[in-house]
Amino acid sequence: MKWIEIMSDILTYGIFIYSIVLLLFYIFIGIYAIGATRRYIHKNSFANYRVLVSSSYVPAVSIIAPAYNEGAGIIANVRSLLSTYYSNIEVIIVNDGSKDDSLQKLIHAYQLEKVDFLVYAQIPTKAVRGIYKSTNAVYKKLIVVDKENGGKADALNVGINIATHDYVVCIDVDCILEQDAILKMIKPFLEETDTRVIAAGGVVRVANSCIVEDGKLVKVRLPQAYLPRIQALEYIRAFLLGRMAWARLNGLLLISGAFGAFDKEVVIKCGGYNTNTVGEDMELVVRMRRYMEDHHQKYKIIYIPDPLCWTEVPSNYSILGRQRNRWMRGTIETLMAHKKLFFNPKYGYLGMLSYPYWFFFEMLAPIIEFFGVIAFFILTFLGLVTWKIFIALLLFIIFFGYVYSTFAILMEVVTYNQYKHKKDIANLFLAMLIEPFMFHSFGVWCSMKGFVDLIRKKKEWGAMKRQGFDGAKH
Amino acid sequence: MVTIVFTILILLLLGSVYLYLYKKKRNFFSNKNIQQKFEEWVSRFLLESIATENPTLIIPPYLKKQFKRRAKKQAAINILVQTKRDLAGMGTKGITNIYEQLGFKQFSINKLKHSFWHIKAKGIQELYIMDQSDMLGTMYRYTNSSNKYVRKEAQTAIIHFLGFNGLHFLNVLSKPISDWEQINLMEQLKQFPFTPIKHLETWLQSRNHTVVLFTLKLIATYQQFQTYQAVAHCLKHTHEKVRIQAVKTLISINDEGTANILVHQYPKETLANKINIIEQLAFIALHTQQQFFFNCLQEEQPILKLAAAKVLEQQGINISKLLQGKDAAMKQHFYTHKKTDMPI
Repeated sequence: MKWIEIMSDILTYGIFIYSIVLLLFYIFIGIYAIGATRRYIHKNSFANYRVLVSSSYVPAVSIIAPAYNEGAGIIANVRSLLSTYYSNIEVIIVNDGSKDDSLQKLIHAYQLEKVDFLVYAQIPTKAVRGIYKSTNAVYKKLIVVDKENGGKADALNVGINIATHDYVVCIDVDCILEQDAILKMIKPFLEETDTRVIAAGGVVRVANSCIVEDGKLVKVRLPQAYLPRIQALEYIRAFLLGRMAWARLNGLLLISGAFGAFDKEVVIKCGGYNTNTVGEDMELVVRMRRYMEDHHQKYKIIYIPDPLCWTEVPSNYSILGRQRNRWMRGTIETLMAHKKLFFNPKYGYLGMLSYPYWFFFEMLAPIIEFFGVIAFFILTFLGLVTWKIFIALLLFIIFFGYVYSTFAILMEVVTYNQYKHKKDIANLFLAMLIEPFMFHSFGVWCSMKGFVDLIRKKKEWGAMKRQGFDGAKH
Repeated sequence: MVTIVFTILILLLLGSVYLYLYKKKRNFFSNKNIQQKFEEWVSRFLLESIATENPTLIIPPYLKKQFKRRAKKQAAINILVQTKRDLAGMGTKGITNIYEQLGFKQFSINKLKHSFWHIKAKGIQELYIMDQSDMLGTMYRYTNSSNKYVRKEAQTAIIHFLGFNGLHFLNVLSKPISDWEQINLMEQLKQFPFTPIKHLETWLQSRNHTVVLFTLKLIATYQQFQTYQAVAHCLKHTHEKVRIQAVKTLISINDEGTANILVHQYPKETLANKINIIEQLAFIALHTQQQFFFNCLQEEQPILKLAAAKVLEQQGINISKLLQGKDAAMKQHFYTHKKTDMPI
């Protein structure tokens, strides 16, 4: 029986050390994020964005929004994009071979006609069937591209090829942008003088239960259903703490595919979005960073804590499961594609900190947790569990999670305080109490399924079926 | 034991959340009331100042009393700053008057002297928006500050007071001017009638490449033809960004020799500036330069071919056909389409 005890000890102490390092990272992230957010708020306390709104000196920006079967809300969504506060933009809607009537609706609503075009496709893509522009001068900023279906990454690549401006903002067409979102996203690119800002990400917030009219967010409300509500807390934790801290370290590996701004030249030099992964947003950021490191160029990736983009999150377990499954596959695919970075000192923070963190604590965490549970049952069966220590450690980890989430709530309240109804904070807190037992466990299970699907070479993207916003008027 | 510590920590954090919300709510209602009264009083005074030349400024005692508190003082200054930004003309003098009479100036000066960069920058901003020109000397010292935000506010302040003459800080500026700062300065200058800018040629020789860049933008915007030779000299600058802007500026102050200068510059340039030269030449190119664009069609880089093709197409030559016909391999690099190709 001695080997079982040795194995048990290795497992126990291994997981214990792993957990301690993970918790230390969380503590560091929480504290480090405070400084990043505070600095951002300070510097924006006297920034005058009005100068940029009307200025003819602002750099031109191309907004790229891929659309696949978005017929139901595409007219309002495009109208919302066109009404963004920014003087110098073009809005490129890429119809990725939709099977519904998205294109016809756009043609009719925006008086589009097919135009002649000659575009250098610097990134190889599926064929473009046509490019449309409006005959009405009011919509002169709008370009609609019709192409063969090739997936989101391919549609974004077409948009990048067609974009005529130096900065591209890639967004999900059904996301709701704050009207000053582009201004705030572009400012970091203009502020640096000796370091090139290659990408900027904005905080994405949960729009479920919010009131939306004409593609604009009219009233922010905390999601009423449990699943979107707990995701609202998860997004606060991830964006306000995690990404802000990593951005301050210049160690970000991910900018949400829902809303990100990029230096087009670097994107093209890197070959654009990878169409062979389901985690194209993360893969592009890692590849851009790697490119800059390989070419010894000083660069930065910025994150903005302002709530700039609102999106609908899955409200049932089936869609949520597919999403988490895809996120896991995307993470593994990206990390495997760039395994050269792993503890490679040549890549600085990227190789020595960001990549290993993602490898051990984002990719391996669900796997370790899953096998930890299995090991627990086996050890229980063998009578090797010291219940007193087990319960103490279990409570420790659950309560640590609570502390971290409560801290995230405090940060949200002190900074942007989006949920103003008197019961909102209590509701968030109550949702948090159940999180470890339902939402978290489900997430681990879906991530494991993602891992298995990847081994089985499953490439499915996992469609996200939208429920629509409360009070949505189009 | 640890569970108890964590529970206490959670309760403390949660307590902080509610305490913060409570304070915020209390301040909101208390400030809202005062702010409303202050705004009404400011509006009344401004209307009065338009109607009479020298209106008497009598500050209600309840307002004076409220503004002894730091937070309320700041809230009132924010209202005045916002109102001053929204208004133009006579009314703005009245706002400055209120600002001075309420003793807010000293509050802003204290901020200017503060060691925290964001407080210092805010202090400078308040002082220049409120036209406190006697502080010009102090603010000038910060135009080369090591903090970019303080520097930006100080430079904006100098332009605010001195217009085009304020650009003298460029003589000694060793710190970079970011694109964001340049946009702000250009917008600030727009508010003044143009007066001749001295030292443009000196700034074009600055060691600080961002000063050169900004000067080139000034020359292009204000059409400073006399600097043509100095601008042309910038095509030899080591910074690509400067050379790109020099091309744009030369185009905006072009003469009959500009096209030839750029055509000669083209082979020495980076890809980005080659594209820039082709695109910029399109604005002034004559048929005499057509051969240059045809030559560009022979370039290895498809993006250069495309840029040249677009210019030739603007000149009425059906180049997309020519491109594909000459080089079948090129076809795969382009999305080409005629609207008649595939009707919906």
